[in-house]
Amino acid sequence: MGNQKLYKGSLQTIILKLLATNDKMYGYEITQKVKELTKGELKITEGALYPALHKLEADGLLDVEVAKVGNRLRKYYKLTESGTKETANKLEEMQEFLKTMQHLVNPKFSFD
Amino acid sequence: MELTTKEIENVQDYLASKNFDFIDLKDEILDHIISDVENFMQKGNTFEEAFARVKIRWEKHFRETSSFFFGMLYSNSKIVVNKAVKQFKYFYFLYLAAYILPVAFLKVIPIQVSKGFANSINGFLLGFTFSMLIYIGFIIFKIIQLKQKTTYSFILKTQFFGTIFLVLAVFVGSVFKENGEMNPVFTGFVCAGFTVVYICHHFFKKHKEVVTKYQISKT
Repeated sequence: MGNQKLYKGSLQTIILKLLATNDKMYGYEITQKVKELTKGELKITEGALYPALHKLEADGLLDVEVAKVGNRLRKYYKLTESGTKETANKLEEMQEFLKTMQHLVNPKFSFD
Repeated sequence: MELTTKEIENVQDYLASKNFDFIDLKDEILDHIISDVENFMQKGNTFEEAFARVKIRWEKHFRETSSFFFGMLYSNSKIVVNKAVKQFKYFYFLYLAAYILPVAFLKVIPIQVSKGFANSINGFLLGFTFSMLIYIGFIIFKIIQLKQKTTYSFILKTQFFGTIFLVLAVFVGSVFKENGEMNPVFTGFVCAGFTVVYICHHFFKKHKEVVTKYQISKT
């Protein structure tokens, strides 16, 4: 929980990765999935999630589908073609970042 | 466990009490809150208990706040301001660059042209700037009359003050001085003014897109 700030810059990558593996998701589902995958270590706040989702949509990386669920509307997000490419780039960047951090904090450890 | 119509109305009333009526966010936030309440109810809480817990979580997102990017005069719910900042940040730096770069460039490398050429360009720019002023006036008029609010209409309202650059460029001075030398300050005003028009045009278009999508989703 104390590491929330460390995750802050990775929110877009997390969202893109989740959508790459889950086809389409809605906001609440994303928060729950992240909580479940990280065993509660990372909690995405609603105040950060929706601005990030809408920015990705405005950048053309996400497509939106609105469906009626019960007696309300639900907005689903899915990756566009450029979103899929961007996910690969972001994940590659993330791997590089993790490698660099490993070298810095634990010089003996190696992925090779 | 699905909420009843009456319980959903309670959640809608809560959003209304927070003046949260931005159509690009409202339905999504409503769905999120309802899903969260339903989740708590599945764990054995009553609607009242579940809703009370969810409200505590959301309170901070509805708190009135402002941002450096828009100035202290413009405040709104934290979640709206956060979204607005994400959408606007790039344009803020564009705006600054549009004013500072021409001024700095002309201070370092002054440009001088013939008087005749300067007069023609001044005349053209005056006409163009005036037409931009009319266009931005039209956007202001449309936004003032709005019935539906979006994050984009919030951003637009924060930009109207920038119209002053166009007013100065039309009524106070011109890009070329009488001797044919470019005036750095007024060149900066014109560039900043045109950037404001571009920003307003961009966000007005975005606002209209959201309204159209919203109307389609409701049919």
